[in-house]
Amino acid sequence: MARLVRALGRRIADERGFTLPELLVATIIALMVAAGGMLVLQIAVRTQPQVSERAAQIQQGRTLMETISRELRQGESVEAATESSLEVMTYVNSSFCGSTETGPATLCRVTYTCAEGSCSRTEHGDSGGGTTTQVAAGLLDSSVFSYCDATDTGTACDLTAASYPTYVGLELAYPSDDGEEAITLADGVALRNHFAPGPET
Amino acid sequence: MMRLPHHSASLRRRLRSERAFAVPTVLVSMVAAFGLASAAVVASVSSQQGSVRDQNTKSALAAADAGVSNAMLRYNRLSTTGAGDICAPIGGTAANADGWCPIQAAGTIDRGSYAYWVRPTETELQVVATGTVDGVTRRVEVVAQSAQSPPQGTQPFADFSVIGLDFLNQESNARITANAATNGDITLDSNAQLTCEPGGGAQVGDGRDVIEGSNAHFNCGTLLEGSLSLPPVNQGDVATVNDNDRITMAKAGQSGGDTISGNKNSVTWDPTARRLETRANVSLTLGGANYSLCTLELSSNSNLFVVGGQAVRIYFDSPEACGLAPGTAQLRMDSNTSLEATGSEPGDLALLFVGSDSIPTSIELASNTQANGPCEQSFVVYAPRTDIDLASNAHICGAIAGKSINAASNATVTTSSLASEFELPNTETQYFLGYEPGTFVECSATPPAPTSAPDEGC
Repeated sequence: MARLVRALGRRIADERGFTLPELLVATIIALMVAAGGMLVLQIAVRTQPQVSERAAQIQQGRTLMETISRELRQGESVEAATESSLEVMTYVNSSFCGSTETGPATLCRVTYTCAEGSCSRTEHGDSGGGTTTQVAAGLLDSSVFSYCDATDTGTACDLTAASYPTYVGLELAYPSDDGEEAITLADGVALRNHFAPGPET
Repeated sequence: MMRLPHHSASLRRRLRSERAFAVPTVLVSMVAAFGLASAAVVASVSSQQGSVRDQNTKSALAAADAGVSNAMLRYNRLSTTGAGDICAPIGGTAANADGWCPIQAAGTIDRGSYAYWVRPTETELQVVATGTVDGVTRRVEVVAQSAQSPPQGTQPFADFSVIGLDFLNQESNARITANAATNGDITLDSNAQLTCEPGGGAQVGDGRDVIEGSNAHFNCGTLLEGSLSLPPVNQGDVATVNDNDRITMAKAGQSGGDTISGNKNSVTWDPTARRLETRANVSLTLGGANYSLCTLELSSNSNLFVVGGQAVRIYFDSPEACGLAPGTAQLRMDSNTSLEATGSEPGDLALLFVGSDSIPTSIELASNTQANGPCEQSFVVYAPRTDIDLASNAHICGAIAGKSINAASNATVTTSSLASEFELPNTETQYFLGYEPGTFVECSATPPAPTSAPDEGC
């Protein structure tokens, strides 16, 4: 023990250490690494809210896509069809149309309307009206819907409700800050419960 | 132990040396870079999980659809005849009290799996199927509708009032005024006449024809071709649970049973052998609902009546159960006898013959007999495995169906429009084929508890 104390004392008393060039180089490297780290951190801090918001929007868009797909998949008929709005008779799991309580599948009238970069959903009650909720925001374009005839692959997706479309295309586009690298979610759904009287012959 | 001093000395030299920390610096830098790269990879993987989940969701839906298709294929290819084997197409027998088959069918497809439950009814097939792919589960419900019309047999006279499965022969002035059908030929000879109802028609078997002899008249317009099938009579427990005691009571002169008008000795009744004979101007009036006989013979101006307003079914048991010899006439009427349901409602008198595929039996009506009422009533003879012979001015007003029909010697059959409404009692439920997808609903993904109905949450 006494030997160890004596050795440590000698080591402390020893004036040998880093050379000046070593310290300079090490300091420069450390500064460069610190500067790079700070730069990355600064960029991350500055862009994090935008990235988070964008991720949330995309997640919201993904959820919306799944919701609309599900409702369209069990839809019966498209009652109104434009690029920015859709009215469909479909089954929803509500105790009654317009209710927020979960229940068995009930045939209801549901409207999706997109305007100024956001979309809303309205489940109409039996006596009209209905609660409107926003289901998507931050869209680049409000032209979300397109309509085709699933039985005729040659039909362009520009049908109107009067043509009894059986397939609805969905496209949600999210912009980037600088207008580039927009992200687009696209899907399409056939109405599985579709019934519609054909044009009278 | 020998190398320790050497290592210790090397370490001391290393500590005393003034060489730089290049290697540690590089190592630290590499660790930092690896950490940043790892964070980027984790973020990328996290963002891709949503896409993978979306893909698996679609695959799970497709797997559930495969389950629905499997169920429909089974039920469209494997018919069922009733509640006893309603679950047979998926490997079960009878359904639970709530109508769901207890068997859960399952299978695999690609990298997913499916399971489904079915609840079949006469006209619908309800299927709830789950599909699972990589841990993502989706559940759908499809109610398939039968594309077929109601099966023939429930109302066997809906289209034709005179049906001879093997053939329909008319000769010697025999006249049938009804829509008639057979799987064989329709043969008309010697002034025989077949006149269909307005808007109706006649049908023969595929490749068969109407063979017209001298002075025969076929007045049915376009001749149809097709095949007929008639379900056998299902007498249920009528052979043992019936109203035969009413005849016994009538024979014994007791009240509360049927009534005999005339000499009771002119009625012979063997309740054990279930053989009933009437003769010598006697009339027996039936007031029960179901009778089970082996043979019934009316002769010499005797009559069998039905109490007004009472629906009477007379079942003729199979020759095997009755111990009858081949060729026995289970119903024989001759010499001005009659069997009438005057005053009853339409379709209230039916003679239903179980018959046999191995022991031939027959129905013989001859010598001015009448099995009828006014033609505004429905009187039916349904004997898909029994030959029917009408002769010597025999007259039937209603509808008849037999293995074969031979009408001769001025026999007449006149249809009743109400006969078409007759429904064969105790007919086994006919479950349809030709199911096509109807309502599609996506259920909550979580399967219901085993004690709950499979369609809970749909």
